[in-house]
Amino acid sequence: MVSYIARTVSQSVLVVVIVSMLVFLIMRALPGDPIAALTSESVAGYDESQKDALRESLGLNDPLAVQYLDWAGNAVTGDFGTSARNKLPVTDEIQRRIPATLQLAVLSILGGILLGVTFGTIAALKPNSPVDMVVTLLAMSGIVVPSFVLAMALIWTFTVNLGWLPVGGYVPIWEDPVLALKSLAMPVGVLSMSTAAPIMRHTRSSLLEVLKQDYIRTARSKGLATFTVVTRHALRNGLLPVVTVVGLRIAGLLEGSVIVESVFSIPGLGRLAVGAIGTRDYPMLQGIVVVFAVITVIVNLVVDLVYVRLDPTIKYS
Amino acid sequence: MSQTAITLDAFGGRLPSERSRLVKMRHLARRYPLTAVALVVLILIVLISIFAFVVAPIGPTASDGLETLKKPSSGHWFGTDRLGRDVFARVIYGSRVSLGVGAMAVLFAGAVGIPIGLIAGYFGGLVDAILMRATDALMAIPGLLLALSLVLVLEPSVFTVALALGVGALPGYVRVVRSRVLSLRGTDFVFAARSLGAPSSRIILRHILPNTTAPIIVVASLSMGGAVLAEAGLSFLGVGVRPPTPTWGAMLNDSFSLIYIAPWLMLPPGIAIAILILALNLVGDGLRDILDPRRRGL
Repeated sequence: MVSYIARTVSQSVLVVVIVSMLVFLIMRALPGDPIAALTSESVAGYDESQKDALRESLGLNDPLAVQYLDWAGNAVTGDFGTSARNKLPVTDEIQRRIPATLQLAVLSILGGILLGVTFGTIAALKPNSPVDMVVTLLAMSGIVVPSFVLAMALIWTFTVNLGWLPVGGYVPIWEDPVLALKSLAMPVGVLSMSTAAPIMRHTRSSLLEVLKQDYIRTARSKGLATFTVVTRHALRNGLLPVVTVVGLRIAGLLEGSVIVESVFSIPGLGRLAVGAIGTRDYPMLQGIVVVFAVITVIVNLVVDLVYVRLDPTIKYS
Repeated sequence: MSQTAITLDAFGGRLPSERSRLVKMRHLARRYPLTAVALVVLILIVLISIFAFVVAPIGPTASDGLETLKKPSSGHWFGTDRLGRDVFARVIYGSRVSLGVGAMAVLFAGAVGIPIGLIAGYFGGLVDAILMRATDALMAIPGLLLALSLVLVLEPSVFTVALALGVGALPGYVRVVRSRVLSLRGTDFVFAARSLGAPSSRIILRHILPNTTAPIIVVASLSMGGAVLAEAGLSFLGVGVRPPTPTWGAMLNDSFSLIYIAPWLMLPPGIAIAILILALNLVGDGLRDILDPRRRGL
């Protein structure tokens, strides 16, 4: 058990290191001279020797490996360099944007699990019934309707026509809970849909499998209510595979937040990333991608470890 | 199959394999009607995109300054956009980008991902560990951000967007091929080939690869849905294939800014994306059920 945890953790660390290498290589492969970008803004103009000095001071003349180690060494201490746009520390900007993204992501994951497990269970209890078909259809639409299309449909309905909800924006939930919930309703709804869809499908298929087991028949024949059988007996085993799905959805959720934050003008990391693309702010983009990858890896690590606790039949060595 | 003793007449003039294939397809279509319908829709979309100039009489970039933001009419079935361009034509021509990018992304991911999966699964050990950690790393980066960064590196065109999205689709192939190879590695026919002295390259290419085609087809159709979705997302964010080339994502972005004035503009591209992705997903799901003997009974 201990060795399993040690191995999983070290693998996760390795994955993060490889991510940082990939990101670094992609950014360094960018066409164009970073010095040209830095110096073109100043009116005075730089001559070649000044540019060389600048290049030297930024370490751009060092071998690629040395540059990577410099950057990674700083990144480990939480320093992702300075933004190419406003010369402010990337880390500060990322820290400022994280709450909005986390608020959105956490609520969407919870919403997705709630929706997915509830409807997946309902569908599994009455397979091939009209209810099942409606649920399956909902799950399918959560997969095939792009988040921005769903977002636009919601905005058209609830903002343009009914005028019930603001188009979005970000209000910290501790400042004005009502307005915060109102502005979060649509973005969380959109992300919950795409999160719920795979959870719904997996809950349904895994529960269908579990409901055939002998111990379920035993529970039923004891005279237990269906509700008790499902919640106390079936779901405990039926939700095991779903735990993995939740972990796998994290990357998709963060990806979705890029689009959803843009549509609903939420000042989170995703919108920051899109902005960084627009202004070609490579250090910023580098930092955001690494942060997203670290979040994904940590969540998956936690899911892996939780899984070991949840499933006593799996022996890890 | 050698059917030397039987004449062709016994099979209605057709070769036995040809006839049985037709029978099998009809049988499958009856058993999986949803998959069959989705396949027909998919083929229709491909035909429409190839023959776009026949389906849409007006060019996708022809603009009429006097006919801007018109509601759907007999002249412009889906109305006209901000620049007076025919929305119907733009949706029809937009399918070219979606299909082209999707198909190229899947081909690229397959061309790189399949060999990696074969090597990782067959050789195992350190090679496997390194390749799989790299695959995990690729999976940990949100695909859209990866594609955004790559499109920044390369100038956005149909080809580069496909390349960027293909990188995101890589892990799917690697993992599926690898797990298939792992289960094939211990089979008798691989063992037999090895004891006959066949080199690794021959075992991988002639004995293992042909047995991985079924899962590869499934991954291809499912990841093409993902690539089409991601392409639309990139275009929506304004970093996809450059205008004036019509893309569904960019059309949706245009209509988003006009949501108060011309809300009908978002329907055609939105529905088009949903139909294409639905068709790709249904075909992928259907193929998985058909090709996987364990699921056939369900």
